Amino acid sequence: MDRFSRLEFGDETTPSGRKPRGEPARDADYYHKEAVKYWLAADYELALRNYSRALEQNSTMFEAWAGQVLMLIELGEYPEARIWADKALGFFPEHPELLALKALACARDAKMDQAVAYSDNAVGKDHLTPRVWLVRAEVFRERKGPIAEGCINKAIACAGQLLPIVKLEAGRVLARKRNYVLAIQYLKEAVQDLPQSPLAWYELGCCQARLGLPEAVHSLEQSRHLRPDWDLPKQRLRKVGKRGFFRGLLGIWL
Amino acid sequence: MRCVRCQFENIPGQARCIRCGSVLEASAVVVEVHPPRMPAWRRPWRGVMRWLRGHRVSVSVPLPGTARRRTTVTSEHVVGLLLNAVPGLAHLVKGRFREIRLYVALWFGLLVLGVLSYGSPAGSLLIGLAIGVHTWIALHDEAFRKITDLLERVEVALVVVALLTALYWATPRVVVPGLTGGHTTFAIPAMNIRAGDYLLVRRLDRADLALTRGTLVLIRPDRFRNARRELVMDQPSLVIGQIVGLPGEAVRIANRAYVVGEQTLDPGRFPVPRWLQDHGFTQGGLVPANSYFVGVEYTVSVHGRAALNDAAIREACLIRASDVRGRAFLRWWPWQRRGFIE
Repeated sequence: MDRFSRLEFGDETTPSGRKPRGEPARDADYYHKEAVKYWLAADYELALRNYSRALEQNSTMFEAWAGQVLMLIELGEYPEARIWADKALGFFPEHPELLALKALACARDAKMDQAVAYSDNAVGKDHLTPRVWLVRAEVFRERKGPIAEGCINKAIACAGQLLPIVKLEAGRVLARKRNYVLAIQYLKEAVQDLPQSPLAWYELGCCQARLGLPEAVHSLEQSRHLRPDWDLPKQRLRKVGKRGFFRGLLGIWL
Repeated sequence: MRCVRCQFENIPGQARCIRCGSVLEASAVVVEVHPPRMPAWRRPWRGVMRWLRGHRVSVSVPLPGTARRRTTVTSEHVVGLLLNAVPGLAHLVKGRFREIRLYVALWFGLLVLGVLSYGSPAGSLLIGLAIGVHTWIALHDEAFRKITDLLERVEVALVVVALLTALYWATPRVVVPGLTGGHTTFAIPAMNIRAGDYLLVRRLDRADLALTRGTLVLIRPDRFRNARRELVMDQPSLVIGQIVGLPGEAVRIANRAYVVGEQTLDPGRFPVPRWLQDHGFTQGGLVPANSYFVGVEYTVSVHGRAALNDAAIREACLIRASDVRGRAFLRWWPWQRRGFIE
C-alpha cells in the first residue's frame, strides 16, 4: 500500500479495482434477490413483500410478477393467485410461465380441468421456462406412466442458471407424487447447491422421514438450525421422534 | 429494448413490445403492485370446498327459475351397482384395484371383527362401519364418480347404503339358511349362560317339533304382548326361552322351583325367572297339546305387579309350537364363553 492510496479523488473504485463497501443500492434487483432468499427460507410472506417492493421500483420486472403469483400459491391463496396472474398477463400477454402458474393455482385448488387447459396452453407457446414443465409435471402427477418424470427432465434441460432451484422444485413435485426415492435424489443435489436453504433441507428431511430413513433427523435439524423461527421442521422432528413400531411397519401411510 | 417475453429487439422508446404486446418500460404504466389477500376466516371454508372438488364433488346452486340438472340412471350405473355388491370387484374388473386396496382390507377387517363380535353393540357398530366402507368403495367406482353434484351424490350414497344394508341382511340368510340368533333374558348356571348372551339358533322345520325339556328355543311371544300390553314393559319380539313343560304335563312353581307333575326340577338347570318367583304360580296349569311351557324373563310393569294372576302367567308362558322359531345350539357372544350348548 503506497502513501496516496487512501486519498479520495472522486472515483468510485479503489486503486485495487474493488467497489467501496456500504449499503447496497435498494433497487428492484436487490429486492428480487431478497425475495428469492426468503422464498428459499420458506418465509413466503416476506418474499411476497419483497417482490412487491421490487415491483414498486420496476413494474416491468417479470420475475417479480411471477414471484408474487408463486408466493400466493405457496401461501395457499389460489383464487388470489389466479387474479394476480390475470393482472400480470395484462402486462405480459400469453406469457407461458404466467399461464403455467395459473395452471398450478388451479391444480392446487383441485380444479384439474382448468389446470390441464392452462398447462396445455402454456406448453404450446414459445420460449418455455422450467416452471412450465414443472407445473406440467405437477398437473399430470396423478396420471399413470412417466409423464411427470419426462416433464421434470425437460425442466432441468432448460434450467440454465436456475438449475439448483429447479432441482429443488422437481424434488417437491416428486414428493407430492409420493415418489420419495427420486425426490430425495433431486433434493440432495439441491441441498448441495443451496446449503443455506431451510426449505431444501426441510423437504429432504420430510422425504427421508416418509421412507423411515434415519438421515431425516439430520436434515430437519439443519433446517431448524438455518431458520429457528420456523415451526414445521420442529413439528416434523417431533413426529420422527415418535415413530413407533406400527408407524414404521405401515410406512408411508401413517 | 429486448422483450422479456419473446426476446424481440424493439425500437427504443416503445412502451410495449411490437410482437407480443408485453410491457417494456416502467414509466409507461402506473400500477398497483400489492396483490389481493385472502381473509383468514375464508381458509377453512376454501379447504372444505377444495376437498370436495378433489373428490369430484361440486356444490352448484341453480339459478333462480332454472331447474337443477339431474343425472339419469343408465345401464352403467346399474352394472356398477351390481359389480360393487362385492367390494373392489368393479375396480378389479377395470384395473383400478390398487386405488382402493386399503379400503378393501379395512372393510374385510371390520367385517370379520363384526361377525366375530356379532350380538354385542360393538359387533353392530363394526358391521355398520363395514357397510360404510363398502359404500365408500362403491362411490369411488367410475360409474358413480361421474356424478359430481353434491346433492346427487348424497342421494346416491343414501340409496347405496340402503341397498347394501339389505344385502348384508339377506346374505347370511341365503348363504347359511335357517340360521338366526337371539339374546337370553335370564341366567342358567348349569348351561354356563348369563342374561344378555347372544345364542345362535337353528330354525326348526314344521315337522321337527319334538323338543325336549331344557331345550333353549327362540320364541315369538306376541300373544302375551298384544293381549296384556299393560302387564309387561319393553318385551322383545323374539327372545330365547327355556322349555320347562311338555304337552300334557302339569306345571306349577313351589319354593322358587318348577314342579312338573310331582317332580321338582333342579333350579340350577331350570331356573325360575324373577317375575314368576315374585308372583308365584302355585296352582299351575296343564300344558295343552301343540304347546310348551317356556320360561322367559319379562319386565313386569307397576300396573302388572298388582294385576298379574295365574291366568295371565299361563297365557304368557304357554307358547304354541308354531311360535317356536328355532333351537339354540351355540353361545356366540361373549367370546370368552363361546361354545356349543349341551
